[in-house]
Amino acid sequence: MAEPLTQTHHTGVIPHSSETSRTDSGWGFLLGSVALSSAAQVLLKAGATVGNGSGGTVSQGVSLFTQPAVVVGLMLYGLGTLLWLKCLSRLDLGLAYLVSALQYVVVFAAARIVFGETLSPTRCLGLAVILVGIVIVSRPRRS
Amino acid sequence: MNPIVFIIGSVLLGACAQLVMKSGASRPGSKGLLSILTRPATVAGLTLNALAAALWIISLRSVDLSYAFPWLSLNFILVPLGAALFYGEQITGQKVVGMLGITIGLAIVAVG
Repeated sequence: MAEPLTQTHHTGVIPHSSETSRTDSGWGFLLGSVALSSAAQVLLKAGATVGNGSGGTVSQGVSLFTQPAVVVGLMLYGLGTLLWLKCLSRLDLGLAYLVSALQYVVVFAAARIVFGETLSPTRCLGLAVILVGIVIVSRPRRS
Repeated sequence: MNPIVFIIGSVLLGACAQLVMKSGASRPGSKGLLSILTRPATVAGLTLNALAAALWIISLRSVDLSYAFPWLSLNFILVPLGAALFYGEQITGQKVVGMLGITIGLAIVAVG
């Protein structure tokens, strides 16, 4: 796997006519990355709270990281990061960050549905303000 | 210990990881993935990332996922600030406005 991290348009490997399909596959990588990273958070949370004791012994600490849900969650997190890097080489950075903000909404919904967490109005308002901030930060500059 | 210490510690380590990995990835030389992955800066960055993940999992033991997750948006503040400090990257007025928005949102999540 000696693929360059950043692919330029000048490599000559990819003919100009496939530019559209490159962008299309970029979207696939982006949405896949959001889905995998969100699933990873749910698994990490699920694994972290298994056998949630009050103690803090070393063996308890180690067993936290060998929980199957935690291990799978970390693997999905790694895969999601790989897809993210793939999409960055195909899509505009600002656009990619903008869409990745979707993840906050997905994780909120999952926290409510999977773990029955209470999404207080204050917490939702805070998230909404954060999302506006992310949109402003990552909006591509007009050229 | 207050879980917010683990949450913020995790985000701080993650932001440091990004900045360290950037220095590894942008060094001149072979652009091969294996070559980039074996550079000291990349290895250090990945190690920081692993530590960040560990702290994150510990914090999830005691807080709601919907409380912890918004804190990851601190990255949108910390990484550009670090990039400006260490790599001379520009922070536009628009970015400053967005960062302030994120800060206000996090303050609301923190009190809510």
